Amino acid sequence: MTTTRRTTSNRPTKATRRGVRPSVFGDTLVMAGHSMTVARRTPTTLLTATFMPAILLLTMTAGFAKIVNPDGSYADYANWVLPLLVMMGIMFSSINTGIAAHQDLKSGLHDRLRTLPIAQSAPLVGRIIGDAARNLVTVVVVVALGIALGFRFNTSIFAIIGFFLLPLVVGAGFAWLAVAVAARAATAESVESQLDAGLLVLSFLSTGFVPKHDLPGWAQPIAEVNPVSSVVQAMRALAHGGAVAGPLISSLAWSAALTTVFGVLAVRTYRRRASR
Amino acid sequence: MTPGRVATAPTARPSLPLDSALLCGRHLRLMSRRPASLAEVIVLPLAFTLLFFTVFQRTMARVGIDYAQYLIPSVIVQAVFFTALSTAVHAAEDAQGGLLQRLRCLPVARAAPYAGLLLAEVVSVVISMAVLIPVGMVLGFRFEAGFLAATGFVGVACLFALTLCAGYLALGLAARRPEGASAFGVLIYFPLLLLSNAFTTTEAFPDWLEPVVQNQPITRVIDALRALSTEGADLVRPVLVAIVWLVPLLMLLGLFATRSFGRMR
Repeated sequence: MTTTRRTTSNRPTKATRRGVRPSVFGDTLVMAGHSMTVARRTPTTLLTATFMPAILLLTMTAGFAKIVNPDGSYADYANWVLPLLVMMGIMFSSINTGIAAHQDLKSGLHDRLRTLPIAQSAPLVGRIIGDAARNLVTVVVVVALGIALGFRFNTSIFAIIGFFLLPLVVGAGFAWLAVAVAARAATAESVESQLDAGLLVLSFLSTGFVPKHDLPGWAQPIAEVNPVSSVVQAMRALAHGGAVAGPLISSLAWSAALTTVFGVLAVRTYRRRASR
Repeated sequence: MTPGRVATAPTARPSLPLDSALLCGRHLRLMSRRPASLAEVIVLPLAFTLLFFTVFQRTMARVGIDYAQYLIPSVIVQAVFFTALSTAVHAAEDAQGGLLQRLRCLPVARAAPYAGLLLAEVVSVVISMAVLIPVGMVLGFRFEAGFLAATGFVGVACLFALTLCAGYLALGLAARRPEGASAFGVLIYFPLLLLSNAFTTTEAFPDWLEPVVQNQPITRVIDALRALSTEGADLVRPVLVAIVWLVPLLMLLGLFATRSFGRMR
């Protein structure tokens, strides 16, 4: 329609201009759908988001329950370690987010989108929203398996909703980090190698696997300021009760900081790439 | 020299060792230029060593285990897995990119492309060990059983590397897509390594799982490596059990690799 009209008169009429005015909401949803479709069709992404945290929950519980707490049961350790494995599934999935973002830059899809009358923010924001949907799948899969192993909620419905939402909010911060890395990376491989080791350190040097007093002295302060520790503690409190305010506030602060810093960095790098 | 003479000259007859060495060199050069190889061979094994040691050292000491001594054989086995996973990817890339097909119409020994790849992967495992063993020694790992046992340690690790890489090579050739090969490879890696006594003890597993953990090949290989680095350990049984696992597996997986290589179009 629009093209035929444009060929008849070189200057677009008011009507066509209004017709192609981008809708931020609609465009973002379309782009979120795009990133979810790509994720669904990428075996590595499916594995990282579902199989990896699930097998880690099973094997860590089976192998380490009696070592970490000899008096506790396997179910006790499943209750203890589950939040960390949810976060590991989400953080390591963000690597795949970065790789997908990098592929869109390399393949020219991103450039093509920029020539279309869509909201400027839609490709990036849509990716982050599509990610959140994938991350929700991770939380649901891990919790479902956890319940089979003896994981239980004994808090109010609001706390349980918070338990499901918090990892998504923090996951968005990590997704921005991955997209910012991807925008600068030369190859998809280097996206992975830049993020992998750092995310491993964050996952391990936290209070996720063992209590803080079981870590060596030098690692305890690191675990204390580690955002993963805050999220894990907040999730434990949201599932089993206990002081929730402190870790919750620091998790949200971390998520806001990651989103702001890497969101700005990502948008800037994208703009610079586009102006080249 | 006329073209006809070159083709019939005795120098054009393929030599397996020479061609393998040449293609091994190609893979090593490629690996040295990709950041992912550096990550798989050095950075990730090192990160896992330091992180597992840091996080579980105190809890393992409580059950009476010197974790540095316990962990080094395990992280070497894990490093072999990382290398093997990349073998699948390299093989799939060569298959997809047409290099293997091209080599088949040249006067190159038939087995050389995959013998070369396997050789290169074993070299990268040796590099991993050359990094992990000194770091382990800083953490407290020792070859307590002497030089001969230490040589045996490296030998068993290399035999394991050869076996596992042959399996993943077959997987990579069968999958043909690097992405699929690596995804499928991870599906094998996680359960095999994590349901073993690599990072924890067999006794820590639930009773019904213990026999599985105890008797699977990865546990058997780690048992042999631990025996070869522990003073006064009974050597014969664990090493024999490991070899009895590895040699037939190597032959079987080598056969799979050869067959998927022959079946390629």
